[in-house]
Amino acid sequence: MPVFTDKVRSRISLSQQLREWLQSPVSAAPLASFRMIFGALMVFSTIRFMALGWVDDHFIQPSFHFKYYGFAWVEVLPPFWMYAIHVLMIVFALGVMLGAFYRMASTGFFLCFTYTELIDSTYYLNHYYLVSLVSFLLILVPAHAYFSVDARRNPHISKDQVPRWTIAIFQFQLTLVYLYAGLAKINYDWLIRALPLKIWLPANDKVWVIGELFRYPATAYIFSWAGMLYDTFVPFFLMWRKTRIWAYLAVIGFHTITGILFQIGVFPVVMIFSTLIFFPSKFHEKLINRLRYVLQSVGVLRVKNRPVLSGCARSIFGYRPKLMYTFLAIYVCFQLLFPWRYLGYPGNLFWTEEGYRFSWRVMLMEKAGTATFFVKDPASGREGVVVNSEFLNRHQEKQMAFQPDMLLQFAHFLHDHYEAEGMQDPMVRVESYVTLNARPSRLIVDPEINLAKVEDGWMPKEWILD
Amino acid sequence: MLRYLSLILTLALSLVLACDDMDTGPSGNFDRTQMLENLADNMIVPRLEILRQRTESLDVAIQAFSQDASIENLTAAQEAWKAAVATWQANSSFGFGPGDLTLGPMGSVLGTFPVDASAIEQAIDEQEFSLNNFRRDVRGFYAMEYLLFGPSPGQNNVLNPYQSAGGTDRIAYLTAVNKQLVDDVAQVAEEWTSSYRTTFIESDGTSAGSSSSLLFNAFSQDFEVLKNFKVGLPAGKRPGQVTAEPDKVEAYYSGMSRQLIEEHFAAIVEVWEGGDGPGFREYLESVEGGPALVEDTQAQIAQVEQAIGNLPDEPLTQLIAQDDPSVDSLHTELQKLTRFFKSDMSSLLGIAITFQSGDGD
Repeated sequence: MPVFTDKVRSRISLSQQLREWLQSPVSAAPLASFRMIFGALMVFSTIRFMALGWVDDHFIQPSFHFKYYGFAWVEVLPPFWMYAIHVLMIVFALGVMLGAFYRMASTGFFLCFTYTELIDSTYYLNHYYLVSLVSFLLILVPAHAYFSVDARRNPHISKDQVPRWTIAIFQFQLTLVYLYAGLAKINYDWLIRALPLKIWLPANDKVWVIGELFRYPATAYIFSWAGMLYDTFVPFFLMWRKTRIWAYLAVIGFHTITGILFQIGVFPVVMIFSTLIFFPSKFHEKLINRLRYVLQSVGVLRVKNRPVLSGCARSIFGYRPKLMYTFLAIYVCFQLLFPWRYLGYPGNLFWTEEGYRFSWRVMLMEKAGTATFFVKDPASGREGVVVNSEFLNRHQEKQMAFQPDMLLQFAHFLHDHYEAEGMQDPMVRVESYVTLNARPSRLIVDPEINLAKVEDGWMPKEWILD
Repeated sequence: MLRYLSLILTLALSLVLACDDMDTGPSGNFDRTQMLENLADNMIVPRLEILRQRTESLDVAIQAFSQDASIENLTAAQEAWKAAVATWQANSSFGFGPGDLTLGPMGSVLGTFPVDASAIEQAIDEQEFSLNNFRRDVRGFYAMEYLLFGPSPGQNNVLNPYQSAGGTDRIAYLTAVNKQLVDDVAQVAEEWTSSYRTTFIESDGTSAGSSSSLLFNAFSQDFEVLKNFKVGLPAGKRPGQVTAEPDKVEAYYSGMSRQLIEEHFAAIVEVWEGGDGPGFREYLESVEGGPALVEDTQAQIAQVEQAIGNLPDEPLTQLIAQDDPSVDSLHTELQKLTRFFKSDMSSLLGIAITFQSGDGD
């Protein structure tokens, strides 16, 4: 069967080609500047987070925290340690930026950041998830091989080249973020009804100069379609040399506008700078040379004649390519497939939110609700109405009202709380009225069901109403 | 890239032309600045002004009473208090900007009930009149009510502690509560007229900290105070309450609770309607999904008004003690109105209700 063997052979050679491509040495400059940019932004955003008083607001004040499924064991630490972790995060981010004690700094940053994200799921943001992923990937790659404190101190790790995959994996990650965000926008509400932008844009009609435009429904349509096309295609235009500069201008424009219009923190800045990873090595070499020159001329860096060792730096997988391929295969498959898990659940994803998070669905819908919990003492038959704000801050209350898994968690908390106060196995039910994209509000979960007896899980939640 | 851009433009343009449900003009021509101007000039500032006048009259009456604790002066002070607390109902939702006092929003600093009578008596016994503490249940309108109408009904029962040993201490505490109340109200009213009115109108966006957001938050929280504490708490609606607690009504000692609920709700509705000018209602009429919400809200407001009208003309304490079903149905109707005033409205208007970052694009 010569044909068959040929096929096998060509398949082998294809995967061989892919492996060689992934392993082939390329300039270390893009990875080094990505490391510096990411580190610097994390220093900035952590300082900002602390300066806004959010350590206190998010972690210390609330008496109850919503857990991620499977991470219920993650607990908030005493106030001193919460602040300590944020200070550590700044130190680690500085280490990443400078490439100093890099493996420890990148590992430390990943662990601290991810820990703080896992404390309370109402603070979930896609861009926090992205930061967790990127900081995880940074542990694996030799981003400190070039233009770093470590490379200065240990000349033997100083290399001017890295395996291509260590750059490609970040390009893949960013491509996926944009592409999936774009694909998610291909839905009836977004494209045909121009919702939620028809709500969000007029709310910004007082923005300097362009605000007046937002009062016209046509603007919402143009922004909806442009946003969908931008997200879906911009990573590919960034990859292609001929369109790169235009695509990058679009990146700047797009994120600047969304940054002005919406309360989205540092996210626009993160995207504007991290997409530079799509630029060729020449660009990054120039950038680093210029930075080196500036640092030398102000005397921060000593002029050093010892040349950078030519050669390819090793990732954390060292000389175990099999391990590396296995990791890459698992990581890439997970990233590609996990966002589609919603297909396994019945009903409208935007309504049930089963499989909504960790899927790059950003700024997709306007959803809000009012949740009223009723706690009944089976012994006396008396049913009381809970004042949520006695346990939750406004942000938690707002997020919980329209996310069924959070309603369930809070119901369990109330059950335990009132049991501790002396009730015997209280019954907890919730009337939560939710509005989605300007539709009249309606009940999201069955108001008759005793949620204290319902367990969360991966299976479809039967108690969510259509 | 140019081709890409023109593709976007063509697509968008063809869509614009294809959609016949789209009006080409700006949505409703609603102007938030005008709404803020109307609310400031025709509602907030005038209401605060009346409150200031009434608390000034109250101040005069309290001073007269402190000079001479006679039955006539007591009656006069009680009447002045009643007039002031009725006006207070129309101001408790202005706890932002100048109304955000050192101890917290005006609504809770001046309007907390039930007060802690024993803590007040203890402060009087210990001659501790500074009010230098963070307790809200020993100050404000309802601490004064306790001193003017309590501890038990009947003018003589009220006057007795003033005329017996320690009477001057009681007067001193009353004067301290009065002074803080009068000063706070005067300060809020003064700041509004002197400078904050302009700030309020100029901050015409919808993000966190904008005037629309501040007003909306204060408004919806004030409504929840009415539902949860003026009705729910005494009716025994809190989880863990084993029985109704009729003595936890607002204005327990003066027996005004029923009247105050009516005044409070009317004042809340007026904020939503905007009086004679543009307010939240008109704003809602101009946005996607708004007209339907306005219709639902108005229908439910009518239900609440009817439920209030159905309360027999007696103090709420007695209605609850008699287990009158009209209190329960008022609570239910208020409950039904909550979502319209809370999440539906802020969602349709795109008003930010928290400071946290949203999810970026």
